[in-house]
Amino acid sequence: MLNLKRRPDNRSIAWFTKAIGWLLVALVFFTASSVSAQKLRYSGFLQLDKRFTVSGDSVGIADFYNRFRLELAAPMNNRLFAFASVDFRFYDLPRVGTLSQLEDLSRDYPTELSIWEAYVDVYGFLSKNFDLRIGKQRLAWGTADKLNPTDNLNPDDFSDLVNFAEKIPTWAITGNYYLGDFTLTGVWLPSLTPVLLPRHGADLFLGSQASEFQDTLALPAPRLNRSMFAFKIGGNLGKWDYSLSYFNGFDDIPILTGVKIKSLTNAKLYLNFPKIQVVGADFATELSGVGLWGEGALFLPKKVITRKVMGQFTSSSVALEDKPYFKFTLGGDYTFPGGWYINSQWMHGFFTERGEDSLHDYFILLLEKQLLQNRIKVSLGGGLEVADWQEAQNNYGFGLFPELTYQAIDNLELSVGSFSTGGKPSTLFGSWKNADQIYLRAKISF
Amino acid sequence: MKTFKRHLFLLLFIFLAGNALAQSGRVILARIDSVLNAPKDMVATENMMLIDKDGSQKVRKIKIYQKGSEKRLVRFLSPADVRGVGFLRLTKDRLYLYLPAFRRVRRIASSVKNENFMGTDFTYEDMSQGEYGKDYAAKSVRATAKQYILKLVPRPGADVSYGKLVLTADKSNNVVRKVEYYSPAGTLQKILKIDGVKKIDGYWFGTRMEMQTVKSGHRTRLEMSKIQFDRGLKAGFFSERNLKRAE
Repeated sequence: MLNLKRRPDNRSIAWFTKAIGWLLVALVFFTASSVSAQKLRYSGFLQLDKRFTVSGDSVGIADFYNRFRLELAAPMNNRLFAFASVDFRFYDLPRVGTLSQLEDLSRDYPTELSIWEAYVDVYGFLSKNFDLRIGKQRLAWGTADKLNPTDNLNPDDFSDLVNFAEKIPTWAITGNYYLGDFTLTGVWLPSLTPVLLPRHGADLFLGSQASEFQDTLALPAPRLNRSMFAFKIGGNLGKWDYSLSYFNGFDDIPILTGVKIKSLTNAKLYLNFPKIQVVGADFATELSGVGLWGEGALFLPKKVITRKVMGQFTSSSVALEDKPYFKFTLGGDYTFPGGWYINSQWMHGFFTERGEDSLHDYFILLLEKQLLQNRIKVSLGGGLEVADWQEAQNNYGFGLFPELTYQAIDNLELSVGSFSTGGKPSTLFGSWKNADQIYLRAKISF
Repeated sequence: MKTFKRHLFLLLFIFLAGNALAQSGRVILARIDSVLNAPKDMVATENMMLIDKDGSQKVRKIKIYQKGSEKRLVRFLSPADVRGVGFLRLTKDRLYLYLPAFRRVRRIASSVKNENFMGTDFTYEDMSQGEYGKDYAAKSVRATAKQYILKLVPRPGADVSYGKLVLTADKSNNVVRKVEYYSPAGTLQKILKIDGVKKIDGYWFGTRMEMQTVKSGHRTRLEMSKIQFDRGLKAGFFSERNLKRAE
């Protein structure tokens, strides 16, 4: 089982980050008390989720989390705004193995609590054209629809396979300077926040061997010279919106740097987070009513060597070459007069793929239609993956993602859908074939 | 000779009258547009009631910012599941949607123009209609004691989805009171009624609207409040910066 252990110094920074987070939440709640009750806004949602796994003739019920999000927005005045949200996840399948565990409610039904976002906005800071945001925040970069190779500032949230393109907010200080149609963005991120993997499902994203051994995971040292930063300049030329970006930091997905094998049943993995630089560019426009977008990211990695120790024998291999590789997404969408919406994207390189030779091609198609005055939404999604065009017949994967959403009552959304993939073992979709699921979801917003 | 003169006079009368009517249609439409776009800018809060054929209702509250006939920023204030969703229109083909759940601004293609805006009976095109004379020409005009009734047809090359509009406006103040929207095939699709006409900050304005989709019987009733004109909104206000900014 992959175990996200931290080194002692990382433990202290994690504790510090958590403490600062709660302090900021407390600050927002405290300052909120000085805001008039009329302006103060509580909101959030409760999302109840049931997952059914299909394997052969049997249908299992997966141990999937439910979610309660509480948000507090406090507009202090027209220059200052504070926001905090807390994410509470709870599981409803008991996890007990002994009689004594029956005495403990929290073990019966595990819970997870985290500060999702907590930030302060200062509008017109130092200059009327400059906005500042400090705190845990989501920095959504790129013009593509969820499949954004330039969106590297927030870690990936793979906790729900069905929504594998989600991201987690992270600590940052962001400045935006606005000059006419141009926006210049600068971001400083004090430390790396690693990827969030599915519970009992690290293998789905890190490879089939990841969970079979013990492991030690090392976060980058908490030093100023190991902090991360990024810049972006965005603007528009006529009908074209564009941006150019640069990111200097770490990949949030760990890479194998060492294997220590003592015996066939006793092996240990060592992982860390590779240093990367990413030069990105994107555009969005429309031609004759068709929305078009494109996004490319040139990754400039540092070389990563994996050392293997087996008794007295040692060997090493290159886990990641220091050669640039290019990921991109091209897409378009169109709404037909009858109301059918079509969205199609070609993504070269999934989030977890690194190195020019490892990048697969993904073609994603989405068809959507709203029915009965938007009470029902029918969504049909599908994907095709090709890992190697030279031998496409042995290197393809596919996925089907249909969903039906009922939203006849305000603030209530009921969804039923499925996520099923298949294909050759060399592909990502092929490796997910045992993770097929049907889901039922109720989301109540308040 | 007398008969010939009478016929000539009649023909001349018809020609002049037709020409005068066409001209007066153009003039009336220009007057309607000038009243519609008289304020330099507007800020208002709208209560939207989405009413089903069986009478069941959904309520939406939005805040709208508008400058001229082109620039518009709409922000949803309630209900909770759409709160914070924003729509920005800079030009006819530069439309943006802000989705707070993803903290992302997405450009939307203008092919969405025929779609209903957030479940209302107003399409994106209806929401963007600022100047009728830009896209439509007055084909004929009728008058009653208090109102003008204009038949509008799309100008050649106009990027609109309707085949004809029948627009009714008050003679006294040139405020639009009713619009019938017809498909290119000539079927009546929707009816917009405007009520609650008041003079606010020196401008005539209809504060209540109701759009009905004929086929489904579904209606959207809009009630505007906190209307402010000429607040001096700058063109730069209509930007992604403000679209993302929380109220």
